[in-house]
Amino acid sequence: MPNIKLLFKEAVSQTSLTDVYQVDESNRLVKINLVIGDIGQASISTIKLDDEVLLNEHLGSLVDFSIGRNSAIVNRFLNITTIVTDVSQDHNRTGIDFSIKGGVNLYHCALSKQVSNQGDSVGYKIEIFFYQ
Amino acid sequence: MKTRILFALIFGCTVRLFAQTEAIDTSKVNLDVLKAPSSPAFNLLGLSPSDIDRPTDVNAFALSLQNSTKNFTALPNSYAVELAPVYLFQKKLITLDQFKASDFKHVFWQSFTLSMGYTHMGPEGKEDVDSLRKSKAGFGFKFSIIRPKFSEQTQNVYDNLVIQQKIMLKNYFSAEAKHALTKEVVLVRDSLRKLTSIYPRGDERIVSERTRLMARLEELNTKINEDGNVELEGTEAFQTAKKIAADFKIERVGPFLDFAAGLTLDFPDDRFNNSLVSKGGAWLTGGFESGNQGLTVMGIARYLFQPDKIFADDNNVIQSKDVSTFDAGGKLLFNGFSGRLALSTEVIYRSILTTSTIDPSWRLVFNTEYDIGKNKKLTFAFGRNFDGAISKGGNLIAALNFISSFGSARKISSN
Repeated sequence: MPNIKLLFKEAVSQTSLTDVYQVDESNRLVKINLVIGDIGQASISTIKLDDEVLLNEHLGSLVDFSIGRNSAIVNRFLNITTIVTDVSQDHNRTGIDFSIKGGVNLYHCALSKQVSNQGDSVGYKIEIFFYQ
Repeated sequence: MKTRILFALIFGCTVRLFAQTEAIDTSKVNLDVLKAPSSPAFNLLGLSPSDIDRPTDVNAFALSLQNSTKNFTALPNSYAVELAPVYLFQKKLITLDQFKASDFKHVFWQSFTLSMGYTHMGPEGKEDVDSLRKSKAGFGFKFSIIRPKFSEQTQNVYDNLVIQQKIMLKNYFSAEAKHALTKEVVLVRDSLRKLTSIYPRGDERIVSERTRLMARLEELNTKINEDGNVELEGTEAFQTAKKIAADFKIERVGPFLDFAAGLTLDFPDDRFNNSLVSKGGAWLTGGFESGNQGLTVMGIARYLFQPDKIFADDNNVIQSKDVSTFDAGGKLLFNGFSGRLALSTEVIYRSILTTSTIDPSWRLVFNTEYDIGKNKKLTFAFGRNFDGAISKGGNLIAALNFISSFGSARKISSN
């Protein structure tokens, strides 16, 4: 059976994500993946932990980026703002595949939007609250 | 019906690929005859490009397999799939900035494609006769080893796009900061932070209150994001980026090296533990890409096993069974003096590796063209053909030509 839930999810635009992520009291690093899609698109991202800028104007995807230790990020907010521009001439799909690891569980969420015109840009916003 | 059409295409294309040298006029042959196919497996198997599934993620691949196997209950009569593993395993390597990279890891993954095909049909006109059906499978792959870098012009356009994206990011933050709901966002965040200090640890109210506050925060963020995107669309940076992105074309300059290979297997008694390699091929293509101007160098080496037509055998003297051939070619093209002078040299070598019945042969052509203006071009060609029949002394096969147009001078666009 095709994964209907996934197919449905792909058909719906979602450019904003607000969620929680459980951390523990350890000193283990919490890391994020921010994989930009679809093929050939251009992106720029800024990542903040509360008001502290962790990464400014980063181009493209990000893999295993450490945002801090479990114990140090509790009760803090991770904010990611990304602009994705549809450069590919083959399709108009834009998206972000976002995941977190290093806390209590793995977390994954995909955001996407099919733009109407070639060259359009989309602002994506992700906010994660870390709790214990 | 579909099966019959597919069958016709399969054998039609097989003949086309391996008979690409058939009826070749050796005085006009050029390097294109050695070019690597875009999908080695399908070309070797003879599958039509329109019958090929090209899934771009694991789900699409699973769906494609499921459809072709009737929900995994039967082997399909034909199935062809082309995969770019980068879509499945290396999605982090597919953004535009990654396509700038020239290191092997990026170049390999971004260019690596696998092609696989399977057919189970009878001969032409009897495709659906079960007793005559034979199984064939094809496998192929291709990848780049060296890829040219962005040209200076492409790099400038890319840099300009990045500038516009930086402005858009600032515009988005600005829209967010002045949004009427942002103050409430700050309040909700503060409330979430204070939960653990208000309630004792383990209190159930922490969970319920967190859920309520997060739901409100999600509502606020969704609205702010929607409005931020609307405002973004009205900015000059958005429109400028749109124009740049819409016209963005990648031009590359520098050395390149690509490799492609494929083979087909026949299963004579339809048992998968008994197979024969019926065709095989490998192509290595390299050179120097100079963009629109300057020097372009290209070389191709091709190995084929049991081709339908042997390039070096113009008169069909030998059978292709168990025969391996090696062909190679090179091309050098120079455009200078603002496109007025064009010099090109092309050499093609062809040989049969497994028999000495036919000696290796080669062809060399040198062409030059100079635009002297007002519709007049000076051309000169010199060369040696495969058979050497027209070679005499200096192997001159062409002459000096002076072409002049009739009537009044006409302007010819340089484009």
